[in-house]
Amino acid sequence: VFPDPDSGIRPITGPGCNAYSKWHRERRRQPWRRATHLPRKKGEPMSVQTATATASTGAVAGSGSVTTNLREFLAFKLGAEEYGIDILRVQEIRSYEEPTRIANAPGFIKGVVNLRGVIVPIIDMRMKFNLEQANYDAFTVVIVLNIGSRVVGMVVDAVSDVITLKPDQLRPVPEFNSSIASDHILAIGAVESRMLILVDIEKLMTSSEMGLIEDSVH
Amino acid sequence: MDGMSVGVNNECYILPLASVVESFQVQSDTVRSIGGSGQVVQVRDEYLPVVDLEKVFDVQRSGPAPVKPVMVVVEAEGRRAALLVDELLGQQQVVVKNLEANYRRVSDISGATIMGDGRVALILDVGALARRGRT
Repeated sequence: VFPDPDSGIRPITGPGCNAYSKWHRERRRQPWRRATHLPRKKGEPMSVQTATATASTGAVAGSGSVTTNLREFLAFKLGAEEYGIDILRVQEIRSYEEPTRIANAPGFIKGVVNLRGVIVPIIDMRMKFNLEQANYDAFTVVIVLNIGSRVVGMVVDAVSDVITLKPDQLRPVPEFNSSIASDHILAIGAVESRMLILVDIEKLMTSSEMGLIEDSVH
Repeated sequence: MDGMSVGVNNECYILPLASVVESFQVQSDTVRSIGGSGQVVQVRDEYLPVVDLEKVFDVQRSGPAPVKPVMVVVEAEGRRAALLVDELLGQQQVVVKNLEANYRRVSDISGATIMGDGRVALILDVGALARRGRT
């Protein structure tokens, strides 16, 4: 590089001269000469430490809520009956839209819909539980469930609310004959005068009678 | 994938364009029955088994049967069959989506796709349909 910046020699002509600006440009291209870069590099490990601290605080808060015995259920209606499912299985609730029919599927599988690019099967629980004819009106909604790695939509008459139940509000399931196998029912939830049938939705949806998941025989 | 969409009653199905050989309007005198139920259609000097999609997919017809149904000749695994449909809807590029991700395998269906209007259309398994024509 001419002239050498450390020699004290400067171009004879002043700023604006070609030789002078070329010398400056050359200096700017040598990043190791820029002392301003160094403190910023030192700052990086600091920000990583902050992130770890935040994550560990979050984990502590999370483990604290697990110890409580309160369970939240999403209550919905099928005809005159009221059901409840674990709120943690619910991904979203959407309005009913006509699905694409799948040939030779059981009647309660209405078909498949497009849920933001994902093909999701739609099951009408009213048909599954042999209730009187299911009609589709403004209150008919689809509860989208996350069952393991799968997404399944379930048609119900209406969603009522989210109910928090204490362990003493869960009553044992009586033995009875019904379209729902009694081992698919977790418990009976008693809330004032309401009776909620708490369904083990994960067990029900993965059961072979639903036919949602390929039999292991194949 | 390039697909050809065909209509059966109010339903839309997608055929992989690569397996479509030709399509023609059905002349009633070219369709013959064999053994009472099996149907064949004469295409030039060849007789092809007819696969009626309305029966395969158990479509509940809401209106009268189309006056001029269409047959689409498909070829897969060296077999040819003529699929009977109501109408040809068009050709488009489709993105193949897996039905098995959230559901299960469905016979005669190889997958699904999302149409321009957001609805789901099923993609036909031409190989299975061609075998069905044979049996």
